[in-house]
Amino acid sequence: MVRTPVKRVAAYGYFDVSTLLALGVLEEALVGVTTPREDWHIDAVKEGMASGKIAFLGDSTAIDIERLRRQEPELVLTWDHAIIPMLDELGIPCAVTSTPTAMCLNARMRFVKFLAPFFNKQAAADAFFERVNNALIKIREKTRNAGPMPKVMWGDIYEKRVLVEPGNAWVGELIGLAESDYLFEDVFGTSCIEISIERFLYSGEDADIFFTYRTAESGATSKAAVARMNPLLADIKPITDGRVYAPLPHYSQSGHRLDEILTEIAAILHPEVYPEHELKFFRQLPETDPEARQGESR
Amino acid sequence: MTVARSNTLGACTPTGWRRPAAAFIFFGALTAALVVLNIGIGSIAFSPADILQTLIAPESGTTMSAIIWKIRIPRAIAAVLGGAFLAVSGLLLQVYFRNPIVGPFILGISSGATVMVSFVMLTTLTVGMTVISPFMTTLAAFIGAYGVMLIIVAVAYRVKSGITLLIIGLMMGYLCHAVTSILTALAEKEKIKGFVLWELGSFSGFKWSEISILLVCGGLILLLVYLLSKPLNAFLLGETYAASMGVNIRRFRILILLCACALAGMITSMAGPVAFVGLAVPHMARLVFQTSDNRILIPGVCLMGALVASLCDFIARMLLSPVELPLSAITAFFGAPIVIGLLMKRRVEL
Repeated sequence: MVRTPVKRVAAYGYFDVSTLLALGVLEEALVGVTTPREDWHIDAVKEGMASGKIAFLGDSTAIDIERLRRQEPELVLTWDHAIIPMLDELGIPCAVTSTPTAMCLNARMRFVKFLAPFFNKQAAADAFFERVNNALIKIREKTRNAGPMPKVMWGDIYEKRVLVEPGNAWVGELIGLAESDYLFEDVFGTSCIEISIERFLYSGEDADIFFTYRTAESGATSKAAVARMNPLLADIKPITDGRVYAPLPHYSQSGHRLDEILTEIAAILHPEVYPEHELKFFRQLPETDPEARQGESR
Repeated sequence: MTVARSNTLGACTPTGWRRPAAAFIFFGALTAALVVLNIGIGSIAFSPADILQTLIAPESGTTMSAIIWKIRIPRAIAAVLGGAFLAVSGLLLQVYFRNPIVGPFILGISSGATVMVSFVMLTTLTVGMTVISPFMTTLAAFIGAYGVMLIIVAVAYRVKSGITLLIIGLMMGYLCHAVTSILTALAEKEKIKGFVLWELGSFSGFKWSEISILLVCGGLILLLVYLLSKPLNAFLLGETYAASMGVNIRRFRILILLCACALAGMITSMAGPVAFVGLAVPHMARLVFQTSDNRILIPGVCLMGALVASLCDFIARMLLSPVELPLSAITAFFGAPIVIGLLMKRRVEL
């Protein structure tokens, strides 16, 4: 049994925490997270951790039960089923949110409505949902008569393997909705999934845009850097002649700005209908790294 | 230790050769057919005529040519060589330890490769090393696998008992696993995905340069192993017997270990850990060829290893195409029931 409104909550995932922000309860209710302070990009969380109100509970796979107990949460938002018996023993209720597997756009948009009753914030959830829904309607209207449909790939390149975002994922849906052609629409999966290199190469032959999962910190600093990850795929069109985008570090913690993220993706797909848009969540990768360019100019 | 049922060691009469010869022809043809299938069929469909044209006169710069020559053919060859090397490695270790449930990774080779790859993929040690980054994972796995192999060989010099060596190998595996677990627990989530992918093993993405290394180095080791087949037969009948036949036991033991670890380490460094082939295939080969004579069994195990790995790779690629299934899952799916069945029926002994 969970008493509402919940006053103290511990949350495992970025999406859970950013949803609390969307509901307007983060500052007052969040007391524990599973990511250390230096990895947070949400100011309210950083400040809360600095003041000691929000505690780092340890990695999600190795929760410090003592610290969790000390924080006295009234609810834990987790994806880890293994922690449930321990929480039962401590008498702490939990909600298994499974947000990492919330693949479709609808689930992402409605997740806020699932959490809202815990905090009696249904009105805030409705407002958030409306905001995202309006953003989608605007995207559809703006891109309806946009130029030619860009062909899009979304995934990641490793030394010998490739992962892609399946067609049933929210990005695939959004790309379709924004009058664009998602090249892995036929791939089905519950999360980013490995496909054959030949399929990736074949699709890459006429793709215009490639979104990589990798941030600059994990190597996506330039098109040349992405090409170096797997020389076999260095000749895909987005790398040789198209555009490659990488997420900025705060992207994965920006679920409360879902409407802006969706609009930004639409603006990347159809820059002609969003001429004023400035990128906030993604970065278009330059051809080469700054050091390489400096070397060339010398 | 007993010898397999039908043939005694070194007693291959003309009639005794018939079964192995027939098996070699049948399974050789099957393996060749699978290689053709692996080159001809993939997630992108090409007509047989186009494939033939690309094979005869490859046009550089076309995607089809790149798919056939840079992706499918190296992968098909890698599956053949990978299966053969792992199976021979497993056979050597089963003979060495006189234990039918020993595989190439029992001595911690894959754990050594895994721990080094985890250092590369899960930490920031390699940030900025852009020049060698495409080969970083392979290089790290190579260092890890061969690092463990050197430790094991060094231990083997000092320790006579096979069981002690086996236990030390297992402990090495646990140590490496502990380090990998700590690194995984501390790693950023986005890095873990790539590491998990590597751990599942695959013949995907092999380069011609790697195939050349496999062909030259692995080929030489296989040749050496075949030349050792007679002493191996003697070793199978006991160290005292082998010594009485003029085998230098200490040097021979080290040689077997070096060959087994080098073969398994080579594949693990390039493909990641591929489970069960090394453990299950020697048993399958003993069943098919009905002998423990290593002069037949070594090429037989090569052939069966190539067949099983090619088949498993085909299934991994095509079952949910274009999605790739983890190779180790397919090999285990195949290997585990076979080993269980064979051991339950006790149809296979060393």
